[in-house]
Amino acid sequence: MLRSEREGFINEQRYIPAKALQRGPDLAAADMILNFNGRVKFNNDDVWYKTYEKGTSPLPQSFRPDLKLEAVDLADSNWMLTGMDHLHGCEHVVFVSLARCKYVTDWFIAQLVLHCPNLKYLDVSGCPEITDATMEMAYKFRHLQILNITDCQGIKQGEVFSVFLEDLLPELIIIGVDSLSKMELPLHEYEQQNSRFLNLGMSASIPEQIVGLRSETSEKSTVVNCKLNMSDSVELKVEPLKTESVC
Amino acid sequence: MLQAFARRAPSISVRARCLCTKPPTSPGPPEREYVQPSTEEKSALKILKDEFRPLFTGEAVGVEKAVPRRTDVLIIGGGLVGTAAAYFLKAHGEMFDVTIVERDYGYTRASTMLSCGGVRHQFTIPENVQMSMFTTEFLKHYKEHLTVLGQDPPHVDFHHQGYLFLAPENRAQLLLDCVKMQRAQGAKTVILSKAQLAEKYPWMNLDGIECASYGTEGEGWFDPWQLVHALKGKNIQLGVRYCQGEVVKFRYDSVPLYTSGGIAEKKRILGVDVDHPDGKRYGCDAAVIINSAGPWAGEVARMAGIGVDVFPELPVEPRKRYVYTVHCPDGPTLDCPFLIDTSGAYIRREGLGGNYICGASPSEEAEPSIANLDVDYEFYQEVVWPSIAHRVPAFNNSKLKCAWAGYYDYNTVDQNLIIGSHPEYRNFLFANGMSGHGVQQGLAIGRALFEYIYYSKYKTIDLSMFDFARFAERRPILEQAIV
Repeated sequence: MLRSEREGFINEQRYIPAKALQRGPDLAAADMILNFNGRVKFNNDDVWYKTYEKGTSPLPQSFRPDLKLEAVDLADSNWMLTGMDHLHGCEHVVFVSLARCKYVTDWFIAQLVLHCPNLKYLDVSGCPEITDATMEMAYKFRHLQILNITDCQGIKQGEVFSVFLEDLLPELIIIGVDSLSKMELPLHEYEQQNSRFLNLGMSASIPEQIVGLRSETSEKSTVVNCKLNMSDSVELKVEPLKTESVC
Repeated sequence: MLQAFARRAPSISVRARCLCTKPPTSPGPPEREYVQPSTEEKSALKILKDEFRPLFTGEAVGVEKAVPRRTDVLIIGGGLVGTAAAYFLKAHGEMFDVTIVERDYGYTRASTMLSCGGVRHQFTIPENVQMSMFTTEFLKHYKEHLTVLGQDPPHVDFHHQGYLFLAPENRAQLLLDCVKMQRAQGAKTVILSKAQLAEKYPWMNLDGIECASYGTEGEGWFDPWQLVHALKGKNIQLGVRYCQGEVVKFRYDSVPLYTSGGIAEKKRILGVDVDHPDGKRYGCDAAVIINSAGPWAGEVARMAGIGVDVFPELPVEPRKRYVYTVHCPDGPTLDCPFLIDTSGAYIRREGLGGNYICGASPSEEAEPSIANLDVDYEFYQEVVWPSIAHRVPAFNNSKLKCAWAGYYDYNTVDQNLIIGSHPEYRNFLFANGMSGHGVQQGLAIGRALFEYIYYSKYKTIDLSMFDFARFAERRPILEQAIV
């Protein structure tokens, strides 16, 4: 991607507090999203709002305290990290779709955690830069019901994270993850190989008496538990949610 | 005139030595062949001979010397601070000729590679908060900064978990003031009451805890090794010269200083002598020398005469710190932050297989010896494990897996950064003494050094309070939130 093009997007998506003060955070955010070919939905009806073909915007121009932003659809857009600032103050957002956005990274999800903690549906399918850190952060959305991570090449341990997430958030359904029995290596071996921190120390020189004091721990760690749970698998039907409201 | 006299002087003393009957002195270490830097004179014949030597010896034509004879900015030490300084110097001020001298490319003892890699915004001094926030900002967009020829740099694996500082009742007010200050700087830290802590972290024992401060955005940990590699790749593309060698000597120049008490001599640093692994000693002249040698910065400063001829000395020394890897099958999983206990012990999760990384700072009296990087497991038994098992009861059933040790570049006076030029040797810059926060502040320090060299003042974060002159002026700046 050309750097000038990217910088152009960053510039256009800058958060201007004066606009948010004038029209309210929901309408200001909706305005910016519509400028970038996104769609929004409010809490008063079931209609997805999009820019008209001639370029005008369907949104009211003045502050409307009854209109709260609820759903944001930014699939296939050029949304940048500066654009996430607009969601500051939009706590009623429950649906965010960032599918196939090429610039979306884990930092976007960190901002979402900060601004929209009531999220129920998150879609980051097809984003190449999303990594396991997104799964780590997903537990912070206490009401999350559906997480869509189909085709995310950066997520290497999606299956394992799904198990932990489902423990912490019982209502959660994760779309796009295969069953855990596909993993070739047990978890602790995979991590031993791939983590630089776990390989920094020398384990051979621990004196025997210290190891002996903690010897009640058996070698069967949580890994085995994970594998046992996976007999009833997490294979799910991949059903993209349509426009029924999720609230 | 003076130089001509100096050139003839050795020949006189050689003849005089032949006439003496003194027995020869015992042979010292083998003499290294000395390669002249650019300020020493070279006769025209010698220059021609050097030009045509490759033709006669069969070497490749036009081989550059391993260590350049002259450079604009010489950076001693190739850890995170040095590499970041070189990156900012070359990326924003392209005209500089930057050379990094690093004695160990494997970085076996470098503090950067042996650190836990945490980034936190929760400091007690506003400038420290701003420096960490710059590190977070850089890491947000680091792919754009450090892409080389269209290829993505390696992932730094930033885990957005946040630091949790626990405070007992007598320090609760201090914590509240600190969080207020941090929020004023733009950091997103919040105070959690005891009830909120019990709800969010049911696996924690809240005995003696009144409240805690938690960083909600931008805090976490990452892999500094990957960051240094990414920076190094970008540096090489930008044209920074990397030299392997050890700085052994500083070379000076004297200019007469006309004072009311007579003519005094003012010394000026011209450059350094570097011992290269190929057996030669290279002289390298530099306009600006940056000391980013980490824990050994005090040694380098003493070589430059700071602490020997001019006082005060640079109060930075290496201090050994241990980090232990522990396995606990029932420990906290996804919701485990970087936990800092009231006793000073810290613990964080590493991966999902039940492994954790923990450690603590020893008290002043019990500082371990810095002779080697051997680990003391008694310290874990007596200091670290009791604190952690008290705070997180699941760790009563845990097993120590392995451990490593690294050096803090410890500032013995106030455990804070020392940056800026020396009052007498104005071209010798410090970037030392971060006492455990080098990884968080390294990028900001690199940018500050670039601004100091390019603009002669700090433009973004004002670090002039961390200058070297504060030791002579008895003005220490104490940071209370060190781990």
